[in-house]
Amino acid sequence: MTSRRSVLKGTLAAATLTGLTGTRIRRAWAADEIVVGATVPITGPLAASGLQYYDALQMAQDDINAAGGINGKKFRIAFEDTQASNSIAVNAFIKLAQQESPPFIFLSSYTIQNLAVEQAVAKAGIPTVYAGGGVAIAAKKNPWMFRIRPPDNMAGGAIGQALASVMKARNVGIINVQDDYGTASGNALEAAVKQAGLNVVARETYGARDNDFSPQLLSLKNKGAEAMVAFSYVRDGALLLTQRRGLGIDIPLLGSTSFVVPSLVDLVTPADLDGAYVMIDAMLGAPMGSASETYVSRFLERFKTRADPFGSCYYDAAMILADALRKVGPDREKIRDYFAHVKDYKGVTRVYSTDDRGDMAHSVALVKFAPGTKDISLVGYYPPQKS
Amino acid sequence: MAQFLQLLINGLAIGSIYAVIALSFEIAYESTGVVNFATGQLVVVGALVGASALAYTHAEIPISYGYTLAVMALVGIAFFVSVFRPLNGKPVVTIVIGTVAIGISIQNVSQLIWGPLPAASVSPVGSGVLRTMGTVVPDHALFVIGVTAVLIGCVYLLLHRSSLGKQFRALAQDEEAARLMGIRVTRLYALTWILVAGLAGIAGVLLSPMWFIDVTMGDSLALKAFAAAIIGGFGSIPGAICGGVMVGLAEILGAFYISSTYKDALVFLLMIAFLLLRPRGLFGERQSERG
Repeated sequence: MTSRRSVLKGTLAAATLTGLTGTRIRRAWAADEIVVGATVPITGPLAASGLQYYDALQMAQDDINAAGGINGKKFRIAFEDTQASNSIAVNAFIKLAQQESPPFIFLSSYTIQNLAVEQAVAKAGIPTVYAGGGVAIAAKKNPWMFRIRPPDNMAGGAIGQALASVMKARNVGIINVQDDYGTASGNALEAAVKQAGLNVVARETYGARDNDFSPQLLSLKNKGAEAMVAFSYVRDGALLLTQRRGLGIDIPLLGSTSFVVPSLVDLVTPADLDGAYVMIDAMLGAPMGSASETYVSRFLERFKTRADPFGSCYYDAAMILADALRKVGPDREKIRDYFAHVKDYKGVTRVYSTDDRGDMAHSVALVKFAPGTKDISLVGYYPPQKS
Repeated sequence: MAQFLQLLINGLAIGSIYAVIALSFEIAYESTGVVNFATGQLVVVGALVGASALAYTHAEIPISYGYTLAVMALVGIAFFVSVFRPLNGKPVVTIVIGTVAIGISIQNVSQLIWGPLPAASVSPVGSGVLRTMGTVVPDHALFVIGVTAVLIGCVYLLLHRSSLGKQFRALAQDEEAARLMGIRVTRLYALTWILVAGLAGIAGVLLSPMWFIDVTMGDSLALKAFAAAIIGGFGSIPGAICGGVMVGLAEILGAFYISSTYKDALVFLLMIAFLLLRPRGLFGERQSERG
């Protein structure tokens, strides 16, 4: 009896919630503006890259409205701060889902936060884009989540190839931050390096709040690494670069995308970047055409900081979303289906096509810092781009 | 051998910073009975004020450092007025929660002022390195070790060879008796908090050229310094030095010779071992020996 009552209560609650949600969506659509959500680390250590897509999304919002909005309605993004906490990221998502009941939500670029929020996304049935590279997220096969950055295993495979063909290193050392992102990336790279016929001579790890990396760097040198690969965030990545130079270690270093984030580059000197390569998501600017060049110059003018691929991919996602809202309206399932069928969409960052795992980005690029400068130059795309 | 020497110097430099922070912990605890869980945030404020002053004055070291110390003295007075006085005499749990809360507040205010992005600072001795015996020692690491040694000497002289130091120690032993002896207790408490904030500020200024500063780094620093204080023994200046150096060396040597994965675990295992086997630390006094 009790269980039947519970079931009835649950059904009534679900029906009420569904009804309310439906009403809210219709109300949001009927109002003068379309509100979508974005959960972004605006404060805390993850803000170093979070602010890039916070700015990029604001620029996208203004551009969409300048182009007439969504079928005459104003387009607005409601932001919630995820800080550097998984639980706050989940709360931010739930708050947006309940208060705004948006047809779409942008998630953060951090694997750990994307994984934390995955169940809530499935339960809410709201289409989302995310930018965490962790392979574990796509493995969940959540039909409501689409990734707008390349997965880490793709970067891992490309790094394996670059180590052999560009950096000519046979013995490789890996250093990664100890969390879901760093560990999964390190594991993927280890497999890729072995697949490329190279040796992993050492694997070192560190905590996200560590300050001194001399034991790890000296260990990699001691064990005969001819190249080292780092999976890190902004502050720790900058510390790795400065301490590598400080210890007089001249082993070339290949870093993950965070190594080109302006807030990292601003912390280090050109000498710290000597011999540093970065496997980035995409090369913005001239290689991507005039729209990308314009984006880069407008971003710099407006926010007084250089644009990076973390932010630009969110700009692209917002533009895809605007197209979706114009064509299929605010229906969540229709927006999800729209994103699932994106094919050859050319944004300012890259060309996007969605595969059956929800991955929309399928290439990475190797860049190198020019000696004595903080300027990067393109070494090559993986897989090679068709001209 | 060269590698060991390299690690030893790095460990000493880091340990020196932990020692200064531990000293700040210990002076607060010894003189006022407060375990100050906002110490890490005070260190960060010192680092950020120092870095801002250096940027504003175009790296005028004496002006910047003087300004930083002055600001930290004001922070100490503010801490005394707004945190210590209302909490003084309250149950220990209230005081602990109070300092944790003020630490969070300081962090949030710092974020509003300086923003969430990490910042870099410069060293008064530049960014050069000394190459000797197969090692590469940053000049700043030697500067940190030297300044810490001088600083600890000054604090020792202040507490053990000056009339003010006698008053501090009298206050630490018995507030009522100190008051009856004519010691101006309120003024002395204010001076204590100025010293506590000043030491934290100096630690911040020392660490900022080595590690980039961000507003959230305080807790991890304070935890290591807390471990140093426990290992060295609460209430002991030699204890703060030895504890700090032991934590620094355990971190660096443990990460190199045992495993970098367990770097932090090794430090806290060492602390737990002391808590179990020698709760009063290396130099701490027995409970029965306290006044």
